[in-house]
Amino acid sequence: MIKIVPSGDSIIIINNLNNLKTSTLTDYLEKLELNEIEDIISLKSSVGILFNPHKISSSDFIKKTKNILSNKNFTNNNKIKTWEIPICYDKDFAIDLNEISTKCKIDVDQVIKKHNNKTYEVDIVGFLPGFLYLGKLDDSLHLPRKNNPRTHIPEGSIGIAGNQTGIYNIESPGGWNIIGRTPLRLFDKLKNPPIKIKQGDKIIFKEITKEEFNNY
Amino acid sequence: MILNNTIEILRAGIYSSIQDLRRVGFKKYGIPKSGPMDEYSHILTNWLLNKDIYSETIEITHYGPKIRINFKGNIAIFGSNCDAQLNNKKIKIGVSIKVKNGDILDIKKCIDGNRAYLGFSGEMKLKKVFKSLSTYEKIRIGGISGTKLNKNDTIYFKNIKNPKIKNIPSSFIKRYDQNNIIRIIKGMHFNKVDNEKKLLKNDFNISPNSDRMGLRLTNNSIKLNCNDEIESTVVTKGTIQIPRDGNPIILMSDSQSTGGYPIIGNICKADISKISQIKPNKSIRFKMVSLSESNRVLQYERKKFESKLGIDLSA
Repeated sequence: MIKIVPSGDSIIIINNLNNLKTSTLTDYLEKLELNEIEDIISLKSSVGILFNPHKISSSDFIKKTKNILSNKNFTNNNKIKTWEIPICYDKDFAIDLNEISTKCKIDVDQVIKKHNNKTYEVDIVGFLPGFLYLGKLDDSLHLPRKNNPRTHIPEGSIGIAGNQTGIYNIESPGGWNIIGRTPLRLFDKLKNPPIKIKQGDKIIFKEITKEEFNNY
Repeated sequence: MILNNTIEILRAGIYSSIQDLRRVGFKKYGIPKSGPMDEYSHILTNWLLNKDIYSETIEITHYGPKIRINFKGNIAIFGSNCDAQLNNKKIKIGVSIKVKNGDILDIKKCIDGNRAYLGFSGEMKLKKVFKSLSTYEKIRIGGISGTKLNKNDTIYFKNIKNPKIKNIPSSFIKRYDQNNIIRIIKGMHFNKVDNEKKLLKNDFNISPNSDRMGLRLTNNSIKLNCNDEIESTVVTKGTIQIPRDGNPIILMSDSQSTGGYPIIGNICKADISKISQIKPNKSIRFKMVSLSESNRVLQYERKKFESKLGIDLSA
C-alpha cells in the first residue's frame, strides 16, 4: 500500500511502492502537469514532490495525490536505454586508485576489473547538476566517503562510495573515492534536457587508455 | 560612451546577483531552484515598482553596489535596512524613488540584516536559462553571464515605466535584529535527536561560513542517537540537516536536490526569509510548531498580501 508523508510544509514523499518503479510513478505524475507541483525528484525507493504551499496545504495535497493514485494500475515502462561510457583508469585521473586498492586489499588491476566488468543501473540523477548515482557496485569495493571531501573534483570524474559508483558531470567539491574519468561531457546547460541519461537506464563502462582519452 | 536604458556597475559590492523568484521544474537534473534568499523582501520590492512577484531584482549581500543609472524611471530597495545614497543624498528603503539619466546610486552597508533587494521599473534584457534569470554560479547560469555582478558590467533594460510612488505599509516592515525565534516543523528523522530540550531551549549561532546553498549553525551541536547511514531523500530550502559533527545545516536557495544526512526538521516557509536575514554570529532559537500551525501562518500571510497589497502569493 502506497504511503504518502509530508516533509515540512512544501514537500510530500511517496513511499512503499512495492514493485512499482519510482521512474514509472514519476513519469505518470509529470504527465498530469498538476498546477501545484513545482519539482518531482525520483529517488531510489521513493518519490519526492516539491509543491507550492500557497496553492494547496500539504494535508489536502496528500489527499489529492492518494486519490489520483488509488486503484491505478501501473505498468513499469520498458523504455530503458543502455549507454556505453568510456572511462580512463590512468592514475592521473584515478587519484584515489592506490588508496582504494590498499583499503579494499585488492590489486589495482583487480579493482579496475571489478569496477569495469559490470552493467550498472542509474539509481538517481541529481544532488548536483547532472550527477549520476549508479548501482550496484561490486561488494569487494565498498568504501565510505572520504573524511575530508575535496574542494575540487574535475568534470567527468567517476567515484565510488558505499555500494554505488557515481559520475561528476560538473566540476564540484565532493567526497567520493575517485577511480577514473570519462572524456564525455554528459551535462550540457545549453540543452533541455541538459542530460539525456535517465533514472533506470543501464551504464556500461568501456576502458580507454590515456592516449585515447586525450584524443577523444 | 553612455548607453541609454542601461545601468552600469561602478562597484559590485560583496556579492550582488540577479535573481528572479525561482527556477521551477529542473531540480530533477540536480539544478537548484535558486531565487532570492529572502523571498518576502524580493516580492515587496517588485510590488513597489508594480512588477509581478516573479520579476528579477538584484540581491545585495552585506555591502552593496555603486551604480550609474542611464534611464528615467523608478527604483526601489527593500529588505535589510541599508545605508543608501542617490547622488550623495541619503535615500530611504521601502519606497519607490524617481531616477533620471546619470544618477549615481550607492548602496553601502546592510544594517540590521544581511540582504537588500534592488529593483527597477523596467525589465532586464537578459536571456533566461532553464526558464529563469536566477544566477547560479556553479554551472554559470542566470544573471548576465552566469556570475555575480562584476565591476563594469552593463545591464540593458526594456519597457521602462514611470509608475506612481509607493510605500511599503508599516505592518510589512520587519526588523532583523530583535526577535530571533524561528519556527520549525518536525522532520522525518526527528526521532534520532538525542536531546530534544537542547535543540529547542538553547541558542544556535549563524556561522559566517554560510552561503546561498546553506546556513551553518554552530554553538549547539546536536547529537543523534543513531548514526546509521540513511537512504538519500529529497531536500529543499528550509531543510535542517545534521551532518556527522552535529552542527546543523539549513539548506537555502541554491540547495542541492537530494541529501544523505538525517533531517531533524524543516523551517516553516513563512520564517525562511527571516532566517536568511539574521546576521553572522547572531543567535537564533528554534520553536517547534505543528504542520497545521505552519499552514495557518502561511494562510494568514497570503490573506494579508492579498487584502492590503493586492498581491496573490499563490499566483
